[in-house]
Amino acid sequence: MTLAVVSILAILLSFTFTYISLRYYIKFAILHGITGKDIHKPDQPEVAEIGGICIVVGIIIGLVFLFSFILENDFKVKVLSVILTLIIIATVGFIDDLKTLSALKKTILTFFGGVPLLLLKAYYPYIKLPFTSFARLYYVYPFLIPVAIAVTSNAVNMMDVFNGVMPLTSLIVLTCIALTAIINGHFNELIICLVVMASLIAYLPYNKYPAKVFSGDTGSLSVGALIGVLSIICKAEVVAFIAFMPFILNGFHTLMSTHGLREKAEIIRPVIINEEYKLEINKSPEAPIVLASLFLINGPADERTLIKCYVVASLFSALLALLTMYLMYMVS
Amino acid sequence: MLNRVKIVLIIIFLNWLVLIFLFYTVSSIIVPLEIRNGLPDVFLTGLLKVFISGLLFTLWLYIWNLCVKTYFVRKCLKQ
Repeated sequence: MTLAVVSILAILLSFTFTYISLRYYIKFAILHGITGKDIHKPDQPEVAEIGGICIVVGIIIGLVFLFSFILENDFKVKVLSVILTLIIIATVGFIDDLKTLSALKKTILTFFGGVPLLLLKAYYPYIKLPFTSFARLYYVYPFLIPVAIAVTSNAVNMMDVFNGVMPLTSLIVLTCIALTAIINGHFNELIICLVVMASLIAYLPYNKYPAKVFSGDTGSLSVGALIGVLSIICKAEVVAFIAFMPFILNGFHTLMSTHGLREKAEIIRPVIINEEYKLEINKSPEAPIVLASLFLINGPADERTLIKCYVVASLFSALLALLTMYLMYMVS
Repeated sequence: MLNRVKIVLIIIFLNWLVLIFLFYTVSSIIVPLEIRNGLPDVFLTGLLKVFISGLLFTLWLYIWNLCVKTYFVRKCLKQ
């Protein structure tokens, strides 16, 4: 089979498995009590939890299928490193979903997501910066890989607070990475990116407002780690960093206002529901400043409006990322 | 809705401008920097460059956080 056919089949497999399995998983989760309250709704309905398993398995099935047909050694190494990273981070997320890990433990464990990339040497130790050619980072780059995986996975996890925000904003970042891969001529890596995007697109109808399933830490940490890995192997570090800015903004302000790593239960909710069932800022001095707080600074809003705000912010970042790409490849 | 997103878009845009400036500074001034008489080791020179770049990025994060916090507190106090 040619690579084009195998790629299309891998993308379809990833999409179909995630889409169909989620339908059955939701019934299974509700039947077995694997549910959580959707706290931003007036009646706080019970919603299936840990749906991220279906995203992870869908991506793994697509990538294993791709792996079994490709002949190029370099491509095989990259696919394998993505699969291994995904397994490591999904395991951390799954353990956290079952038995809450401390914030510090979880963060340290996500650093291990970079190990497959380091061991299999599935990276190039240079970065393309705007206005210049490549900056060689032979000594520093390997140290940055585990940091990048830990930052992206935890930042996406922190952003997964409202219905549909995680898949929508992640898809926007992944689109920027895919476009950079095309411009860089990394077409093999583009296929991996599309397999991941296919699974997220299949997850979106179930997670969009009103959500039928939550991804849990299994899903959000895994998607975040994949954004990190793909930006490394597609050589889209700078573009991904700019497109990822709303996630960084959200995560960074949470960390700064909570004075370090804290578990969700330890943090005072930054957003509360008022009598009119609208979301508003928690004005307690101990409440962290997150992206939602900045959206709500001009008054209360419903969840749908807030979700739109997240998407607009992500699209704006993506636009700036594309402008940066233009500065990097067209101007210099 | 645009009124709600406006401040976040401004923050993102300002951050982008600062980031581009930082990337330019790092790639055009710090990376090609050569120390007269040379440091004993190439690794040490690299380490120094990484340290200066890290310092610049940390300063950026600190100022960013301070500005957002000040804005947020002022706006909340007004309300």
